[in-house]
Amino acid sequence: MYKYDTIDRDFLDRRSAQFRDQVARRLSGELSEDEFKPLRLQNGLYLQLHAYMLRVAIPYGVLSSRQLRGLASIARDFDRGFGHFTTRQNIQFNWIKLVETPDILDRLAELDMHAIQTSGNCIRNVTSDPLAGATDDEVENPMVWCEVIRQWSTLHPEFAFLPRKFKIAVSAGAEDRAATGFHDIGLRLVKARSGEVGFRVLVGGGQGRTPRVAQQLTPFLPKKNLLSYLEAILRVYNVAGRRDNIYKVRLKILVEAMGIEAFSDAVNMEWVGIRDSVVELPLEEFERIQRHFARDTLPPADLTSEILEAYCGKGHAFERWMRHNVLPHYDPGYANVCISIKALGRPPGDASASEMERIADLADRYGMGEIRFTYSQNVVIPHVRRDQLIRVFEGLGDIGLNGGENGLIGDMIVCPGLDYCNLANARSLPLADRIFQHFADAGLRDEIGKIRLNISGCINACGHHHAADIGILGVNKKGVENYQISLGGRAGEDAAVGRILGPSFDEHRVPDAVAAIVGLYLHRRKPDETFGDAVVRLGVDVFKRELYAAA
Amino acid sequence: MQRPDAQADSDGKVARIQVFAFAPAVMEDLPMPCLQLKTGDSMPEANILQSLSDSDVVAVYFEKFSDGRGFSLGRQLRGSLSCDHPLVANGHIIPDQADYLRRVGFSHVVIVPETLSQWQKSLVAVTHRFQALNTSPRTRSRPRR
Repeated sequence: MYKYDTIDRDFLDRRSAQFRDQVARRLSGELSEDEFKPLRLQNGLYLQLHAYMLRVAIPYGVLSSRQLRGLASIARDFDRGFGHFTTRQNIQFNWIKLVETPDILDRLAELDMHAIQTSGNCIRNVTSDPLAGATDDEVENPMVWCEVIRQWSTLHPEFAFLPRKFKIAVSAGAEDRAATGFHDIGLRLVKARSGEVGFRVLVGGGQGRTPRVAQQLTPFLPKKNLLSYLEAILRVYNVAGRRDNIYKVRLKILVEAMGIEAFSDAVNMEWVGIRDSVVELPLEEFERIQRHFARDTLPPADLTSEILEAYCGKGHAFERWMRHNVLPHYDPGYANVCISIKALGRPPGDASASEMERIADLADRYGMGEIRFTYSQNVVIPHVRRDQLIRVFEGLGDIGLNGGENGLIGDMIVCPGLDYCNLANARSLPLADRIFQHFADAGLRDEIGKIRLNISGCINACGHHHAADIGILGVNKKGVENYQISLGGRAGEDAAVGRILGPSFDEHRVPDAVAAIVGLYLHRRKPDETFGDAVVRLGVDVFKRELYAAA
Repeated sequence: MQRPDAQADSDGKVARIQVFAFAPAVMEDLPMPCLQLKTGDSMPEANILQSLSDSDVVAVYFEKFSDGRGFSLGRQLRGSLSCDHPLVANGHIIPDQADYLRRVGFSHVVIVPETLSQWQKSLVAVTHRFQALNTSPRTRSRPRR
């Protein structure tokens, strides 16, 4: 992973001091709230329903065990002992005092971390595949390019006051695990027939009130031209993007209004003036960054393990955990462990300080001291020797974290909802619990198999309900919390926006509605057909009829 | 306002800006002839090139500090339009934007005199560079410097 040097550290110290001064000027009245707002947002500080929230950047979801322990201590000292993992691979602290924020930023700087550009109308933290550099299905390690983009976008003087937030994701795997189709810019590393690696560039994706799947801007961009091409896209957006209507300010609206061909022409007009110019990353700087991501030499691992054989095939909980939570690694003697932190009674994405510390310990002892955060608000420990998996399973069991199932119906993405967010129409967390309880039978969850069920408390779609097999959206129906159900969304390959099935349900009826949908799937599916594939084959209308006939 | 810190060539036109300066003044005090633009302006390249040749200085008016279009306009003027005039930012801008303004090519800002020390402080608060920009030979920088 990328390691800071004296230049990076000096930068963070100065940035932290700058924000301390800005907070003081706000408190003295020298800065108005209107003027202070974008400054605090670009340092990750939101004002939520009950308190300030600080969103800390985890660049492309990668952090060290030392950094995770540091975040745990911040959770203890400045929050209520918890952190919240987000869908964009960051962590949020939800009970922050404004006056303490500069101290937290100082603590983060000691960890080589910060909260820069985690919010505000600027280029946000770039996200990526949580298995990057640890899987054999990728063209090359996308983290190198994520770091290039992270540095290029940091305090970019031209793009600090965009019409709205701007999100970039990079993916290099055969499977898109970074939801590139739902980003302002999605970058897919691809290999041309000639063998040259470059980027397939997608633009104009996003969720929220107007969900759109990104469209292809170019099928192949040479790697050496990445920064100039990004600058051209951003400039067209900065100059031509709407600023008069909060609901129409995202890039997806501009791309749709112009049409992809006209947008492409505009980008190319800007690009021609800066392509192959000083804007491009110098080769020596690229190579400096690339060296940080060279594969570690892994000690040889024994492919046959008596311990694994002793447990597997006998219905032990370890076997289930292996099936759902252990992901392939490029080295057959190793694995990537996905820790799903979803469970009945706990807000999805929340982790306590002691849980974070325990995960850090396990990463040190059985991995390479590295941790990843995922799009689905889970945690991955990469590079674990397969013959050590039982130890990780037991270690997670000590803190009650070996029961979560990656990718099954309980592994929901859920926004904080009306309990914590001042934008929400309805509560999300209690509904997640109701659904969790409804599918309490592990055998049933196994039978259903891979499925993504996401819940958003409002149309801003922080719970990514548009991109779910089953999406649930909280709506306000004459003062009563209700929930609309959509079907057929996908975040990865063949990204798609889910289709609303029909009238909404109250919170008591949602679990039965979900059960009716899932029941039809179980009844009509073909062997080995996932829920998502069955929806595509059968069509959404089949499920709609079943749902409303039952209702 | 203070005259831009510039060198004049043999026929008296402003030829080159030496340093980023602060010009506590009002719009009417800008040196003439002045090409006045505002954020969001886009005009055909031929028109703007003609206007540039008729002007000694270019001013960009920011209606709102959070409207970032002026930053792109600055870079376009310094980049594809090869504008080498003094480039002045005025309107609603805040001291915390000082370094951004300088880096996209502005040579001057119009400020309220009482805020001068804050502008100077903000200009050097964070001096690290993560981008190389083609705003002009004077503002070109290497990544991370």
